[in-house]
Parts: sequence; C-alpha cells; structure tokens
Amino acid sequence: MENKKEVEISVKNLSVGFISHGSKMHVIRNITMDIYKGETFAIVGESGSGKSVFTKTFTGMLEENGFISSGEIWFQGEDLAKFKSNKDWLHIRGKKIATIFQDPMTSLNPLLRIGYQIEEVLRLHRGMNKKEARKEAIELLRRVRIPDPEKRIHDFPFMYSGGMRQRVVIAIALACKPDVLICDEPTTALDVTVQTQILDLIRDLQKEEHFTTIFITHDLGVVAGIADRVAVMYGGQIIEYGTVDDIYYHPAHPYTWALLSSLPQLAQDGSDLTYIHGNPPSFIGEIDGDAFAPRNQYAMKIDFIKEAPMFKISDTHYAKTWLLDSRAPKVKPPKIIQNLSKKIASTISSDVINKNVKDGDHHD
Amino acid sequence: MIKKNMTPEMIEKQEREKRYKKEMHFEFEPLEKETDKNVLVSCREVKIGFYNHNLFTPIVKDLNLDIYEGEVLGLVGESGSGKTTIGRAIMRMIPIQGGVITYRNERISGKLKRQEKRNLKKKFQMIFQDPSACLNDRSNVDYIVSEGIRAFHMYDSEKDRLDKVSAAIKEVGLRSEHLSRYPHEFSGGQRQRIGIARAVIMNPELIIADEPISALDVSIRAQVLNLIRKFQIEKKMTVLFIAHDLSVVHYISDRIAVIYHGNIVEIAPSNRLFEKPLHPYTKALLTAIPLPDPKLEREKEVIVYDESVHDYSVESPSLVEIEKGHFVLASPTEVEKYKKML
Repeated sequence: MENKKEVEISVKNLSVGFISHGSKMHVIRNITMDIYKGETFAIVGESGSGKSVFTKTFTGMLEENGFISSGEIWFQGEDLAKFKSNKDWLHIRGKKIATIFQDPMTSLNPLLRIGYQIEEVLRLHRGMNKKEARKEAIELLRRVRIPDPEKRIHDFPFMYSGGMRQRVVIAIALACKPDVLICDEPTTALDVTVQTQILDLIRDLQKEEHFTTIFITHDLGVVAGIADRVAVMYGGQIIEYGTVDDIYYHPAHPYTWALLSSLPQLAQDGSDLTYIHGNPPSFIGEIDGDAFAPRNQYAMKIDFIKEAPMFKISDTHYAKTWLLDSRAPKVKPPKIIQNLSKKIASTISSDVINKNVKDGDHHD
Repeated sequence: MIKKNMTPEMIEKQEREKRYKKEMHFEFEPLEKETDKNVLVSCREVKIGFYNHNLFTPIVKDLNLDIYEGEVLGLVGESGSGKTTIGRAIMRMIPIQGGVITYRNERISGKLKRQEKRNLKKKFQMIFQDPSACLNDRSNVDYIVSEGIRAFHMYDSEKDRLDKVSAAIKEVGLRSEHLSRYPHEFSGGQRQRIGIARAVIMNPELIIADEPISALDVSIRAQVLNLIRKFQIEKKMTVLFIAHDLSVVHYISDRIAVIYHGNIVEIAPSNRLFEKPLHPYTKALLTAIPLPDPKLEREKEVIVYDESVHDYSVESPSLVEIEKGHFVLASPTEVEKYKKML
C-alpha cells in the first residue's frame, strides 16, 4: 500500500554536523526517510533531539557552523544536499518549501506594514506588480480568516494578537503556493483555544491546496489530531516511525513508551507523574550503541555496544530497538500506556467528548 | 490597657494603634458554605485595571475568591483573561482599584506600613514563566538562591547560609557544586529548578506559580510538576497555579477556577470540573485541549464559546454555589438550568 504513494522528499543516510569550539559533533546521525506527497508528517522529540535541524536542511537554513557531512535529500529531481550557494536555493526556499516558525513575533518585521511583507513575497517570487500583489495579499489574508483584510493590511505586526500574527505568517508561507510546508512548533507560543484555531486552519488549507506538511512539535496531543504519520526523534536519529495509530496504540521503542507515559492526562490521582530520568545525550564525541540506552530501563548489554538496526514491525511501522530482535526477551510496554483511549476518555466529561469511540485495538 | 505611668502621648499612640488594627482587620463570610477549611487569602470585589493614555481599562471586575490553606488552586483562562494580573495583584506587584485582598483576615491591599509590606514579601513567593528571563545573568546560583534569606537575615553565620542554600539546591535535584555556576550554564528545566529553589528557601506560605511549565519540554514538564507537588505536600505550602493548559492543571490542582475576560466563570474541585463542567466557556475550553489519542481526537467536536448564549439584559449574573464547592457565574434562570444538569 505504501509503495503506491508518491514520494515528495526522500532523505538518504543524512548526517549533519556542527563545528563548535574547534570540535566537530554530529547532530543528525544517518537518517533515511521518505515523506509522501500530500501527507502530514509529524516529527516528535525533546528539545535537542535534532528535529529542527533535520528540517532546516530541506531549505538550506543551517547555521553558519553547520554542514551536511554525508547523505542525499532528493526533492523533485534535485539533490538538496549538494546545494552550496544561496543562489541555488532561490527557487526552492520559500517558493517550493516554505517554513512557519514557532514565534510569530520574531518572524515578522516590526517596522513594516503587514501588507508590504506579504506583497514583497508575491513580487519577488511570482513577479507581480504592486497592484496585483495588493489584491492577492488581501485574498490571502481572507483565506487565513483574518476579518476585514482590506483595513488590516495597513496595520503593523504589533497591532495583531499572537494568533493573528501566526495567521499572517501562514499567509506569507502560502503566498508562493508551496509544495511542502514545514511547521516548526507553530503553536507552542499560543494558548489552547488559539492553538485549535490555527491547527484547524492548517488542516483546512491543506485540504484546499494539497501541499505536504511537515509538522515539528513536542506536544503529543497536537500530533494525534493533525498527523497522518509520526516519526519519533531522539539523539539525532529517527528511532521509530509509523502511522499515528501505530505510534499511539502499538508503540515499540522504549523512548516512545516513556514519552507517552509522561503525559499528564495519564497520571493517577496522588501519584507522581512518570518522567524520563537523566539528560538527553550530548553530541560531543561519538555515541556508542543506542543513544537512549543510559536512560532506558529496558536497556540490554548490546544497547551499550551496538546500535540497533531499523526493525520492520508492519508495512508502515518501523522501530530502532534491540527489543524487537528475535533473541531479545519479550517486554511489554508499561501498563500506564495500555488502553490509552479508555484512560484518556475517563478523565473528561462525557458532555464534552463522545466516549463511545471504540478503544484502539491493543496487544495486551 | 492603660498603665499607671503613661503620658497622654503614649495613651494616644496606643489608641491609634488599636484603631489601626481594627481598620486592618477584615473577617469575611467564606464563599463556600459549611466548610472546615481555613481561608488563607481572600479577595472581595477586587477591581484591577490599567490606565492607557489616561483611559481606564478594567482587566478584572469584581473578583471574589478564597484560597484555602494548603491547597493548590489552579487558575485557567486564555491569554488576556487576567489570570496573571490576579496573581500579581495578590503579590502587590500591581495596585488594585477597588475591593479588598486579605491574608489571614488582615488587609494586604492598598496602603500598608513598611514593615507590613516587608513581612508579606517573606510569606509570598513567586515562580515565573520564563526561566531564562527571571534569573539574573550576572550573578551565580549561590547569590540568586540566597538573595531572599540575605535580605531577611534568616541565617546565623556564613556557614549556616551555605548549608541552607545547598540544602535547597539539593532538594530541587541539583548538586551543590552548581552553586558557583551562572544561569546560562543550565538548561531550561534546571533553570526553572533554580527559580523554584529560590522561592522555596524562604519557607513561604503562598507560592504563586505563573505558568511555570509553559516554556518547558514534555519530559521536563513532568519533573517540574512533581517537584512543585512534592514541596506543596512536604512543606504544606499553598500554591496558586496559573496556567492555560487544563490537562496540567487537572493533575496538580485541588480546585480549579476558570477565568474569562476578567470574570471567574466557574470554580470547582478539579475532578468535578472535568466530570461536570457547567458553564459553556468551561466546556469550550475542555474541548480545546488536544487529546493525545488519535481516535478520540478525530471524533472530537470542538465547541466554540459564544457570549451571546447568555441573556444578561434583565438579570445580571453572579457567582452562585450550585453544589458543594462548585460555583458558576450565572443569572437566576441559568442557575435553575444548571441545577437540572447535575
């Protein structure tokens, strides 16, 4: 089933390094991943897991001291990893692959009017004249559901609220009708009610425009609502990926278990929240074996010596852990994340959500 | 009491002090009927607002709130609803424009004596949202944590101070060799721990935690929440927990107050609020939480709150106790409606 889908971005053995204080460290380590056309692909992980760096390579926006040490990124017949100068990137960055950043405050220029900032993109990338650009900009603002766009187009960014600013950023990103939209934690700075509005907007626009969305977040709640497929990142590697149902109902990697069990919704009354002990790995020096092993309560001896290969669980679901090896002891995921739907449904009033939803099938 | 050898000035001074004490003393009926809990802080008809180009903009209107001793009260609302403003008003960081805030039946709002203000600073402590902005970049952890006990001379000798500081830093899960380091050497979660240590070392009675975890990662979030809970239980502190994420507040709080546009629309024990939300805004807020479950999330319908469902043209709403400890902002007709829903 999977092979029928068209591949939009194909990443092969990608490694990204940084030079800091004269020493090299590898922040992305050997990622191979296909992202399909029209899907919403979510990347989840702690801060420092390399999720932002990974997607920055798609638009050539790595920091000065960052470099792609090996690997290929195939996008529409071109290898993006080979691009060197800004000139190479001109027809990709912003035009075919657009990015929405976390903080709508810093991604807009506070000294320029909203209208000018949208028109600038239209004039540069789509060669419109001023009049056409103004017309298109108003249309774009209307599409991201900003009321009264004819008037608001003359406003400065500070006159908009946080959610509205994020809408403007989305409008700018969509101005060039991109094929891929990268959302780098677009709702982390917003509060819950505005967050749902922005997520709905992205979902609706995707239906209309059929672009591919790459969604970076650390909030597992957001992922469940928006994503088709999820990749979990840890220590610069994708350690598990699959459809949303695979990840939530049949998680296989101990790190995914740990992430799921630290959800506050799952805490029983009076007990402590479970959390992941220890710190994320430092990238200075080589990491031997599995990067998660020191924090992993299910770690075996081999985890400290040799890195696990990607094991195939089903056609859509892969995980990188020795637990899936035929010689490994059979370990069940922790109790707390079994019957996830039922547990989460029980925390919320039936007035609010429909509890009759069938529980996800589990292997107990 | 008048003693024999008192001069008239001394008698007058004593009278004045008596009068002052009487003026400062406020005893309110607790909002909740038949409760055996002690009220620590109460707000009655508190109005807070700001002057914007000489134009008064009210932020919080007629706030009535009791904070009980030893509880965790969650304050939830969207940004701009005034939840931080309430926290800051209790801390005396911003003035209030009307009403009274009391602490153990003594007025703490408005004009106070210098000594009284000083005492309050010792009893109320705050944990801030942004761990990278709330610590002084130029001073080491030792100084940051001990600033409070230095100001109030809460130690006997230099050794005693060091002991206290390293005990506090160990309690939040850092090591005493961290004391000589500077804030930029720590990660976000560790910095938030320093912020907590700084508040806890004073042995405060009330901690106001203003969105302490919004800027943190999922796994670190859990650690910081556990820490706040641990201190609250061990040291019997009262916590006012301000947040916009209901799922986190549900875990940590005993009671939750939901705020909309400066009005408290619902207060209830936290499990009860999730079981039986009554006010339409609370329901809308509950559906807005993203659920970490794909199936439920797909089936979920988000309710959008519309103020026009209330008809307050004839009857004005007030905070009414619908069942024990469960208050809703409602007009008399709505009260009947809500009672039927139980």
